Amino acid sequence: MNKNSRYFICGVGLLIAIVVLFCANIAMGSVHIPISEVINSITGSGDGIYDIIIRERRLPEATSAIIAGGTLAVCGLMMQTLFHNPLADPSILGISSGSTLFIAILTFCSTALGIGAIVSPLWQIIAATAGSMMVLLFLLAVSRRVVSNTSLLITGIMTGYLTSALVSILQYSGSENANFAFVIWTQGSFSRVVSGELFYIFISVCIVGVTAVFFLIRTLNALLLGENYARNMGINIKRSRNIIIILTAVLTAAVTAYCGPIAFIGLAVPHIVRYMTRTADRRTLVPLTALAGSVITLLCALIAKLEVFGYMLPINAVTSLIGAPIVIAAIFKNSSFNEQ
Amino acid sequence: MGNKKIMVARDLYTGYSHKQIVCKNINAHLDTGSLTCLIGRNGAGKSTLMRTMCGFLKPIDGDIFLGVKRIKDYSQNALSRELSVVLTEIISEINYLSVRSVVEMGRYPYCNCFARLSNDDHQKVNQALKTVGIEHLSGKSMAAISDGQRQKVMIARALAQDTRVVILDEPLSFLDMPSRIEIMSLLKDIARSHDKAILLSSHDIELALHYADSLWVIDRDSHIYTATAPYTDRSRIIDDVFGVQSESVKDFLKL
Repeated sequence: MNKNSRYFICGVGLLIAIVVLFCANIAMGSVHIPISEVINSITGSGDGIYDIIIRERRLPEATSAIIAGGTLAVCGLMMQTLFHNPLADPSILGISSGSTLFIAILTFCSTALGIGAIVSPLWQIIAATAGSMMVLLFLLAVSRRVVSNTSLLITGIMTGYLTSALVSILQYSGSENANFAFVIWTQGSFSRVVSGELFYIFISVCIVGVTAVFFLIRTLNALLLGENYARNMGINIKRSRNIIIILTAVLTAAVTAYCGPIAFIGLAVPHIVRYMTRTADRRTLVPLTALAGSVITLLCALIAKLEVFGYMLPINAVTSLIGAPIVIAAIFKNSSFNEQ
Repeated sequence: MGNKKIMVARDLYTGYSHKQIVCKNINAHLDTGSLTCLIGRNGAGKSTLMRTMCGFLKPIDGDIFLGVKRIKDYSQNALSRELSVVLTEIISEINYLSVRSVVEMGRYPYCNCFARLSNDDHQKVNQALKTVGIEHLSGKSMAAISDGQRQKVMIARALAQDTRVVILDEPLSFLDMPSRIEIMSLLKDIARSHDKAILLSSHDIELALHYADSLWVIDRDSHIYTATAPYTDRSRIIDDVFGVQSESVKDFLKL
């Protein structure tokens, strides 16, 4: 079979999977909704209590999962390309650690001051965004000075360690209630902000950002051959690096602010797609990674609420539980290909 | 056609800073339609000079002209349409690319940001694959071909870039003897048939003396001088490059 038609079939398969999982996500949960009602609701002809549940909660939740998954996966692909490192993911820049730190400060300080109860999602979003933007500014300042990507990578990882040290100090000194609230935030969820303007801001930032990644395909591909080759293909390395960092930071910040630090998707999905398609060509990988990110995140969201142990699971546990074996299996299956 | 100076190094100093100057006062040039080989011992400053010629390193002093302009006055994109490179750096992820998509990258200076190639671009890619003689490898993955074939892919990529100057840093290392000979004669053919100025660096002095139209020789003191074929004084060139060790080399080459 022609390679391009194989990629096309992959794409169509993933799109179908998105539709199926999207509907399943809406139908399943603490209240099971018949699939006919789901379709009615989506097409705008639903009514009754089911319609309200779907519109108010399930639809925004499933949409969040699609958007967050696709976004994180594409960010992971960008980081792995920029740093030539298969272990890079969106958190490698320390962006989500910045968000986590600010959320920790917000949670523990407000609890200590006795105003914990009034910390709304809006405040959490503001704190998380502020935290990640602070890290981004720091990284850009570093990026102006250091030439090598490795130094930048190490700076990002060290920022992560620094913030987690501060977070553990806060956790250690904080109250039990505050700790619980904080841990819940770090577990990630797609149902925090499910309606209103905030939700639309999240969706638009992600869609615009992921669309922008498509405009970087030539740059990302050229970077595959190394920086000097890329330069010789007319790519401005410094500018491209800054654009990639800013874009990844803004997208990661948006997802983290709304859904918490979702683990694993950004790291694993690019690998899964690479093993599936056996190509490194970003013209193929960028769109397929976005779709696969949505599929796998929807799948994880679905498993999380199936209440396999009698209660809902935190999304971060599921992404790793499901994703890690998939990646290991893919690597084993392709080990001969991988070693070359 | 005909040989004309396309790239000129004038009073060039290469190195990493004023305190770390590697080669001084280089005056040399590249001609269209000819193959030039930079020879020198390991550590003599070949790579530094090559990187400076490519525009990856700034000259410490002096100028490099490409056509009528200094290379530092070219924008990144404009330079990439005049000068293409074949480098030694290898990123492992290249293994997941097909031969064709690597050669297609040669057209990136002419593409939009989505890396979509026009029909004209595809034709140039086909031509490059054909010139280098690797059309049959087009669909293969880079992981599945030999080192010699890989080097040809990178040469095809540079050809697809359609530049007047091609610079190759150590293209013969890691290759066996037949592949080295094949690459050298291929480069010479390309220089002739496509009227390109080709500069390569190598420490394979024997092949250089045999194939190159002119030589840039880095001697023991990191001075650079040029020589043009036919090389009447081979033994002096070998002396200059290898110094005290040159006797064994000359003995081996029966000079």
